[in-house]
Amino acid sequence: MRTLDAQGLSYAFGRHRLFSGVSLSAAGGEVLLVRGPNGSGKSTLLKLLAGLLIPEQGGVVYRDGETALDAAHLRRGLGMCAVEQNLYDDLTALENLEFFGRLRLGAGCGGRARPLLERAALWDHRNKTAKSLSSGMRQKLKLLAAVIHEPLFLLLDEPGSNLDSAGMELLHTLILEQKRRGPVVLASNDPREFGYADRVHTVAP
Amino acid sequence: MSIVVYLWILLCLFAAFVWSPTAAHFIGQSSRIVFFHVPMAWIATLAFLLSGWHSLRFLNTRNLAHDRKAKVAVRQGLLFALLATVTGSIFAKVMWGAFWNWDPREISITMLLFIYAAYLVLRSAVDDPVRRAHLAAVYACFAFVAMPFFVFIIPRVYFSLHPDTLLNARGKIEMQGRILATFLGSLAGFTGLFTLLYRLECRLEEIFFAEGETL
Amino acid sequence: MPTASTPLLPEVWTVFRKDWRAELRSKVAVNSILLFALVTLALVSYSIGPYRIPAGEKPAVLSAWLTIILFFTSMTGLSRVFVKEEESRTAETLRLAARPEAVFLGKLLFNLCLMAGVTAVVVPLFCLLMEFHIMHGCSFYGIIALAMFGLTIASTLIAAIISKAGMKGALFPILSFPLLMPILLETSLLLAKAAAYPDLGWLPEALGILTSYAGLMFIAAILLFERVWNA
Repeated sequence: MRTLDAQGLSYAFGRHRLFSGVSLSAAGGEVLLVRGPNGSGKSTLLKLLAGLLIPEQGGVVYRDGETALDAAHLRRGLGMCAVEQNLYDDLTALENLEFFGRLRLGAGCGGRARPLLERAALWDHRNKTAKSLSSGMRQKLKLLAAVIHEPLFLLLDEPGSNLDSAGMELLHTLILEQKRRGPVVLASNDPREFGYADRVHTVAP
Repeated sequence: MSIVVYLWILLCLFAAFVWSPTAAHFIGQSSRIVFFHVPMAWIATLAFLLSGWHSLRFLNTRNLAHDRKAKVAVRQGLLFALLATVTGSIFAKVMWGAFWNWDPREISITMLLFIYAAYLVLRSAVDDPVRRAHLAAVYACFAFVAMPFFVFIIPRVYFSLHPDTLLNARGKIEMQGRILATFLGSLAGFTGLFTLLYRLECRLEEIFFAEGETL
Repeated sequence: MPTASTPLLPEVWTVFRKDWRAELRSKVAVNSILLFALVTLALVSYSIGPYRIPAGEKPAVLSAWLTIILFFTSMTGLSRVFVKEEESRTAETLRLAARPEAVFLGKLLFNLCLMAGVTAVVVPLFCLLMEFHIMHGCSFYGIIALAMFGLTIASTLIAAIISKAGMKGALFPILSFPLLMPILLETSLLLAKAAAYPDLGWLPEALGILTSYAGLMFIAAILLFERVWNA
């Protein structure tokens, strides 16, 4: 059973306290929806979960069964797609995917990019640089880059932004696939994404 | 303790200008500058060591109190380094006719000034306090590693105009009698003064931090 | 349970190749750095020229000029490798995927290639334009290579620091200069010797100093980088 457990997280940006004593957990097979008004700190909370920020107090533990995952294992075991995390503009769609796949999987990532790109209807655009793709295509590419290494845990911050209905379909299937591997934490205010949630955590401002 | 330090410094001033004789081989009264110039350079180096130490401690503990202490050390080190540079420059003018010669020791103190100034500029360019502390601490530690090159290698390799009044190549102490006594007294006095100033400013930093302001 | 991350060297190579590929497409860093170097060269050549300096002074003066040109050229281009990541908001994506050592080494490799390319163009051109005749060619170029190696290592860490701060453009030379000063001074003097001294007895000690600087900076940078990258 793969679990993500955050206890007593406190974080302030300078003198502005975002939250304190926040605890949440998610277990394999479920989608935890993190909701809250704009400015409540949803994105910051996700960054804390990802280890991109260090909380003042509290901590986050990822477990695969009984074993806690360290930073090195988390690079392999965690996938994240967020608004403020872009892909490389000057690389093509295919190169972007292969880059992130290769970093985590080594040469063994070969062959994973094509099926994903085809599912996202991006295979025909694989040789276009990321900056020449439309915003919806870029978002789909970001989602693919987050799951190319088949992570155990997936963090999504407003994954539906810029997506059309086909894109939302893709997101839905990716989330369903991910649920078979481990928990998904989804931060969103988009009503289209509320339906994915098994549980809800609300962040108060 | 502050009274003791102030009185001691008064004593040192008296000793420096009245009690101690001038040294041979120096022009006029200029040898007296060693009682001020060398202790100032010593304090500048001490402050540098302190800032390096607290920067390292911060990187180990992530405790922002160390970051504040490192910042205070740099600020005060900058002051003493400036004073050392100015007094040295005055002496250079008297003895060798030019305010600046790019003598290796002068290069060293200049580099120290640049490092201090760069550290403070870096701090002013980062808004997030935690990130600021990390970046400043890394820069201070990195500068610390580069320092052996300033202090040890460059002066060894090149001839220096600097008078070796304290420790020369043979390792003997050249100063005698009253001059030595005044020098050591001044060294102690300046160290005491720095300790006072440093502790005072650190306390001030803590108070400002507790009230949610920055200095 | 997933296996631990991939071996270091392939990861370094992946990071390097990504930066290399992106740079080949945009050519921003290489163009700006080359153009800056050429403009500076042209200025020096035009204003001073090969004949204004007396032959006896040439080695010292020209070595100093060359060192200055190389320093400011490096300041023009070596920070891009990190600044771009922050400005395009790809830094966090990279942080999640690659280990810090691989990021530093990959980007260091990129900067080394950049500096090597620029030096290979600038130095011969400088010697040509300024009629700089070098007595010990191999030592001359060897010293430059070693010095630029140390300079690039230190600059790459500083680039990582300033990429996370404001005022990046101005901050880079401000932070770099104090730390590079020993190597710049040393290089200037050594190049003058390589150009003009009849014997090479000073060479071993010189190489020792340059190598120890590069080695020390490398170790310090590797140890400190992770804190900058995750700051």
